[in-house]
This record gives sequence, structure tokens and C-alpha cells, in this order.
Amino acid sequence: MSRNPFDDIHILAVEDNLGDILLLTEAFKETQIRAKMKVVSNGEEAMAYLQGSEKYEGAPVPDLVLLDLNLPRMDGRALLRRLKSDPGLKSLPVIVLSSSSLETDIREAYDMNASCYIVKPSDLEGFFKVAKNLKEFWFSQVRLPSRPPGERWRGKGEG
Amino acid sequence: MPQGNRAVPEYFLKVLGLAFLYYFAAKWGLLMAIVQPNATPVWPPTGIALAALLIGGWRLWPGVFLGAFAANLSTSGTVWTSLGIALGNSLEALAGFFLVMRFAGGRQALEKSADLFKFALLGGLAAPLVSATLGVGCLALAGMTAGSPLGDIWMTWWLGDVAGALLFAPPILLWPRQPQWRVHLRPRRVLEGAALAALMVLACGFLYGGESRLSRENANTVFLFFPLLLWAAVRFDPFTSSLTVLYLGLASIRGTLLGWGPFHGTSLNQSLLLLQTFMGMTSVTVLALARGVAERHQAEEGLQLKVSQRTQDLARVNQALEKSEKYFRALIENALDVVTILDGEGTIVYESPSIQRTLGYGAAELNGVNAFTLVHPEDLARVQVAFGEALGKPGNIRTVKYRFRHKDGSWRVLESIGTNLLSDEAIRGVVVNSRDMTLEEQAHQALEEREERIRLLVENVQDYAIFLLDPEGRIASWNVGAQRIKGYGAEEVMGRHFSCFYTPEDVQAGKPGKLLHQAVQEGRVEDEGWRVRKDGTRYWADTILTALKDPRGRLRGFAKITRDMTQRKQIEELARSNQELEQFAYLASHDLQEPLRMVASYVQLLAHKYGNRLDEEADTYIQQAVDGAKRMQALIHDLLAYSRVSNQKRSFDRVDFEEALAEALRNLEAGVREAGAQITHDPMPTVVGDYAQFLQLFQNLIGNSLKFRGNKPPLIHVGAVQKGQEWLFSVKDNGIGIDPQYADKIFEIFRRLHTRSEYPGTGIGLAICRKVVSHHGGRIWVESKEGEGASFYWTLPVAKGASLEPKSL
Repeated sequence: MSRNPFDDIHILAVEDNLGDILLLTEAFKETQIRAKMKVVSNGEEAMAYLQGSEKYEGAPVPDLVLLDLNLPRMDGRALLRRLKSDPGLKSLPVIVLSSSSLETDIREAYDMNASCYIVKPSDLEGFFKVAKNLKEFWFSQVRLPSRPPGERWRGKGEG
Repeated sequence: MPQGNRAVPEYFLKVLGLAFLYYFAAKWGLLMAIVQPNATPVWPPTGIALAALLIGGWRLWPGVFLGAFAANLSTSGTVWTSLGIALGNSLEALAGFFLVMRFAGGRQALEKSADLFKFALLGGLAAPLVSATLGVGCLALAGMTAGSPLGDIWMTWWLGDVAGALLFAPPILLWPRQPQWRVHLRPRRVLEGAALAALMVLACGFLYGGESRLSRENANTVFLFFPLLLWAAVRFDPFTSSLTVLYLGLASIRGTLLGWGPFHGTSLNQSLLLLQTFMGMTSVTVLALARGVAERHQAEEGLQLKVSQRTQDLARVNQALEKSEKYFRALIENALDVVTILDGEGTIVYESPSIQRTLGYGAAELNGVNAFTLVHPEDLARVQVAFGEALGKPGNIRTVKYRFRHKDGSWRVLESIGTNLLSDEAIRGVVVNSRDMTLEEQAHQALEEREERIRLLVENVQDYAIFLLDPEGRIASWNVGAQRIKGYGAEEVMGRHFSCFYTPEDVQAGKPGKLLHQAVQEGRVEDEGWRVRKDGTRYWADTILTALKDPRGRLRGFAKITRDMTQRKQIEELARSNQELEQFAYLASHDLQEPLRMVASYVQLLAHKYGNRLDEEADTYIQQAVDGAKRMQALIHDLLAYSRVSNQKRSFDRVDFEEALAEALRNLEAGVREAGAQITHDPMPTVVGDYAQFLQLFQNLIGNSLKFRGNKPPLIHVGAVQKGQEWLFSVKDNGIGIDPQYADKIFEIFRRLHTRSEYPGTGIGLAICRKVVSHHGGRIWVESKEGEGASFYWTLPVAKGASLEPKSL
């Protein structure tokens, strides 16, 4: 069953920098993306969210994940590894959004099967451009896998 | 005198035996008495008595006395006459005994021809005078001469005794001893003896037997016996001769008494006298002849024995000599040493075969060659002096070491001992015993050279202090390096304790002593730390202390090697601080970017959302804030790039410069288009290095040329030329150029020659270029004049295995 293109897209943003979250939100508003964004600030919370723990009872199942790499506690790399090694979660697209432009970081992310890697823009215009491109590509052009009906992405992680 | 109980009966038995023998011999002799019963033509007892006393000793005379007394008494005598005659016979025997003993060699009287004549004279002729005189005297006193003239009786008596002595004593005395029998009993000898005996018997029978006419006519044929007698004397021994004479004597007397034979004359008495004279002479002559022959035989035999002994001795000596000669020859010829004999001039007379092994010359090849011509010219004088000294005195021995030419032309080192044997008849030369010392000499020289080299090495090493300590830690040697590093001269430091090099803190902590102890325990100990120079300054030392022990494990001292590592230590610390700084720069710039991004973004957001609600002044402020943030971002970006050049440990790859240049031009496309620049380039090679850094290098330099262009449209050429093991690259432009006095400065970080408003930039670009080039082992520089464009050059090593031909477009 394919996803209804008119449904809102649910995004799980894993990001600890409030500034970036606000800028993203502003950029999404500016580009009129029909997207609902849930934010968690580190890898553990992201796992808890995706595994439907009590705290996130009733939260929507995400269509894709926006992932920062440098996070407190379980960082973005560790989370990415967990997601991609979990049979129930590995088909969930992950877009890495990091301030690092280091070749090593980029390669590592793709090695761990990130869907794409975006360097955080250094100015507002850049953010707007990212939002615009996300909308045009990920939310329009790309066919995302359908969510399991009435179900969460069911990770079998330890939780 | 009889001695001992056992000798007494033996003596009496001998005396008694002699008495009986004398008695029967006398009885047999009396059968022949013609003139007077007591005086016979031959009186055998005289010979028997003389021989008996000579063999058994004078003490046996009573046997003679008893035998004679008994014989006379039982014949015709009275007691008195018999006693007198017996006394005469005894005295005759004793006189004969003593005379022969005294003058004629005694028992061995017949063994020598000289004694033999004395025996005949004294024992045969003289002694019977006693018996004849006493006997005839007694008969005359007793009136028993029966009218015969006394002279005749005396003469008969005397001649009878003489014949008895000369005929009978010799066979007894010459009775052969054991060894001679063997000679005589050889079959041919026995046969010859038998022939002689047979002829003798025949001759006697023929001349005295009465059957032949010759004997009856008394023909004087006595000479017929001569051959036989000579035969016995010459061919046989004296004993056989004496027997032959005895037989002839007895046969002659019997024949003459019966009136036959050559001696029968006018009267019987006269005939007997003649016969007895003949017999006495014959006996003496034949015996003497026989004795002479025997002596000659003996002498010959002795001579032969001696000759054969001599011959054997000579053979033995020869053999020994031969053996010894062989032995010494083998010794010399197989010895490793070379033995040569030189004459007084030094000419070689003999050389032992070992010369082949040692010096390559064949046997006798050097004979006649003067040895000095083969001695190394530098050693010649020395060798000649030694030879001269050896010549100085016979027996002198001199040793000398010198070089001698091998047959192959090389020099061998010989050690020779010369012995002057010029005066030795057998040698007449200087015997030189030479040993090949080449290998020893080479080893010795090598050792000396090595020691010298090591000594020079140690003494002249500049960078290391190398010195020895005695077992207590006092300095025992010093080298140039030690003087340089520690500042002490050898004369002021020798004998001082090595703790003077340590800091007071170390000395207080007992470090020097602990190091010595540890070195003794573990053999060697390494240490590093601050030490003090003579002038009090400190240096960082890296030391090795080694305990020196002799083969028996006793501590002989220590070797200490110290290196001044102060500079290395400083470099290390500088490198570490540089690295820390770079690490810091990288982390700092990275972390600085986050808040800056926030500042820039939110100021822009502010302008975006509320721009139209604020006044123009506020818009300017916002613009300045954004501008500052962006500049800061550019700075941080370049700083990051700068620190990454050495911070990022990436392995080098082969980089195609065509590709790197093409990408750089793509990245600069907008700027190139805007400036209207024309960019050309040589074919680019492949170089080993970091692609991203080379990309940055091209970008920065070409970007510089675009940025610092003049009023004309830029013409930029990128060059690449191989020069030996290096590539020489260049970026040449026709821009504003650079004042040469700043040619070095422009590569320093944050160095700018223009205001930002004229030419924007961070001042890091060229610093990055320099770092990239030096990171790859090259150099970078600029050649320019103000207003005439600039040429940036840099070198890079040629990649091994890379094609030398630049790739064509």
C-alpha cells in the first residue's frame, strides 16, 4: 500500500542545537513544506521514540530522520549504526545534517548507509535553500517506503 | 797344605792315584832297562810326574815319591837305594815344576812357542839332571852298578828321563779342553787324522819292524818321518803332534832295542843316546812347529773374528748413520720451515723442498742465486747487517725478520735464524732456518691498524663524550667529544669523580653511585637527564654506562658514552608544541564555526523577518554584523585548511596534476569568467602526494593571479618542467606583481600587502601553499617586480616509476 501523497510527512529530527531547530522550522515555514517535525536531542531518545516507549505514546511514526552527528551521549554515528543494523528500522531513510565538512565524516556516514549527507549551511540563505531542496526532492520527487499501517517502525533494539 | 776335611781325602786320593800311575809307568819303563835295571832308555814317569805336578800342584810330590820308591824296591833295589832314587825322582819333578812355573809359564808352558823352548830346556833337560845324578849316585854307593861305567849309566838315566819328560808330559799337558774337540771331530779332520795315524803306523813298522830289509840293514831313513811329523804339526794341533811324536818315540826305542832301524849302531847305549837326542830334538821341534802353526791359526782366527766383528760394527754404524741421515733429511724436507745454506757471500748452496710451499721456487732452483737479491730493498740493509754479525764468529746465531720475494713476485714476510757453521767441515756455510710469518705479520698489522683506528675514532669523535672510569668512578680517559660537550679539558678532569657532571639534585639523590651499581649488576645502564657543564650551564644528556669486566669477571672500570641531546630535546618539544598548536587550531576553528554560524544566520533571519519594520540604520548594523561573521567564517575556513595540511594524516597517492589542475579551474570558473582571464598550461605530470592539497595549491595560486590582476585582462600560464629529480612548476601572470623585498614575507601566515578593501582575503592562502609544498618535500618561491606580473615557482620530487614524459593533452 503506497503512501498518500497528500498526507503530511512526519520528520524525526535528532538535534541538540536549538538554534538549528529554530532555523529549520523557519526554513520549513518559509518554503511551505507540509511536514510535521518531532525533535529529540540525542540518540537514546531517538531509539525510545522509534521503539514507541511510554514517553512517546501516540507520537506519529516518522517517514524520515534528520540526524545531526555531534550529539551528547549516544551520538549520531552510534544511532545511525543502530538503525541500520536493526531489520525493522533499516529501511527508514536517514538524512545526515552536520556542520562537519570533513571527508572522513562524510565517508563514514555513507559507509553506514545514510541516505544522504548535507553540510549545515553557514547562513540563512543556505538554510532556506536546504529546505527548498528537501521539499523539492525528498518530499516531492522521492517515493518513500510506506509506513506499516497503524504500526510504528518496530525496532527490536534494547530500548 | 790340605785345607778342610773334604780336601784331605781328595788330596790323599790324588797322591795315591799319582803313586799308582807312577808305579805302573815306571814298571813299563823298566822293561826297557838295558844298561842297568834302574836306568832305562825312556822313563815315562818323569813326564807323567812333571805333568801331574804342573796340573795338580807341587803338593802331589809324595805320590811321585811313593810310586818311585815302590817301583824301585820291587825291581832290584834295596830300601836305601830305592829311597834315594825315589828322592831323586821327587826332586826332579819338584825342580821341573818350580823351574817351569818360574820361567816357562807353568801349566800353560806349551801354549806359547817361547815358553815351549824354556819348558824343554828347564823341565825336559835341566830337571832330569837331579834325578840322574842322585839315582846313579845311590846305585854307585850301593855298589849296584854292575861294572858298567858310571858315565854311561848316568847318561842313559838322564837321557831316559829327558825322553820321558819330552815325550810324555806334552800329551798330558796338551790334553785338549772341551771346545777344541768339536774342531777336531769334524769328519774330514777325523779322516785325515786316521790317514796320518795309518801312515805313521806303516812307516814305523816299515822302518823299525824288522820285517823290512831296510830296517834290518839299519838304513838311515829317519828323514822319511819328516813329512809325517810336519803333516801332524802343520795340519793338526799340538796335542795330536805330541801324540804322533810319542808314538814315533816309542816305536823307535822298541825298534832300536831290537836292533832294527836307523839308530842301531855300534853299541846299544850309543844307539839309544843317538835316538834319544833325535827324539828330544824332534819332540821340541815338532811341538814348536805345531805350536807356531797353532798360534798362527789362533792369530788368524782372532784376526778373522776381529775383522768380522769390525765389519759388523761398521755395518751397524753405517746403518745407524744412514738412518739418522734419512731421519734428519726427512725432518728438514718435510718441515714447514725453509732451511737454506748460504756461503759466506750469501749465495744459496742448498734449499729444502719446503721452499716450494712457502716461496714457490722449485727444487734447487735458487742454487747459486745470491739470497740478498731477493730481499725487499727496504729490508736489505738490516738483513745484511744481521748476516754480517752471523759471519763475525763461528757458531753465531742471528734472528731477522724481512720481506722476501715469492716466485710469483709478491713479498712474503720471513723470520730467519742464521747459524754460522762456516768452520764446520761438514757444512761450510751459514745455515738459515726461515719461517713464513706473512699471515702472522698481516694479522699483527691488521690488529695494530684496528687499534689505531679505534683509538683515533674514539679520540676524535666530536658528537659523543666517550671516556673511561676506574672501578670507583674516577675519570681515566677523555676524548674531544667529552671536552666539547662537558667543557673540561683532559688535564683538569682526569682523576676526578664523574659525579661532577651531575646536577646538585642528582648528586644529593646519589644518582651517580646508583648508576655505577646498576651497571655492575646489569652490565650496562642507559640514562637521560640534565647534566652540568664546566661553566654551570645544563644540557640534556643521553648516556650509556657499561661495566668493563675482565674474563674472570672482575670489575676493571666503566665506559661512559654521553650525547648532548639538548637540541634534539628542544626540537622534540617544539614539534610537540607545534602539533598541539595545530590540534588546537583545528579544534578551535571547528568549534568556533558553530556559534558564528548561529550569529550570521540569526542576524540574517532578523533582517529577513523584520527588515522592513526597522529603519535604514538598523539595516546597516545588521549588514555589518553579517559581514563580520562572514569574514570570521572565511578566516576560520582558511585556518582550518592551513592546519589540515599537516594535521590530516593521509597516505600519499599518485596524483594526476592534469586532473587536479582541471578541477581547480572548474572551481574558479566564475572568477575566470568575470576577470576575462586566459589560462594556458604545459602538460602536467603525475606526482605522489595528497590530491586535495594539490587542488588547494592550484586554486590558491591561480586565484591569487586572478585577484591581483592589473588593468589588462589576465594572462596566466601554468608550467611544469622536469629538472633532474625534481619537477619545477610555475604559475606566471601579468598582474600587479610584488615588490621583491616582500618576496619571502608573503608566504607568512596573516601577512597581507594590501588593505582588505583593495584586495579581500584572509592572508592565509600563500601560507597554505608553502605548507603544502614543504609537506611534499619541495620549495616554493616567487620572482616578481612590482607592476610586471609575478611568477610563483615550486618544486616537487619526481615520482618513482612515474612516466618522465608529461602526459599530453
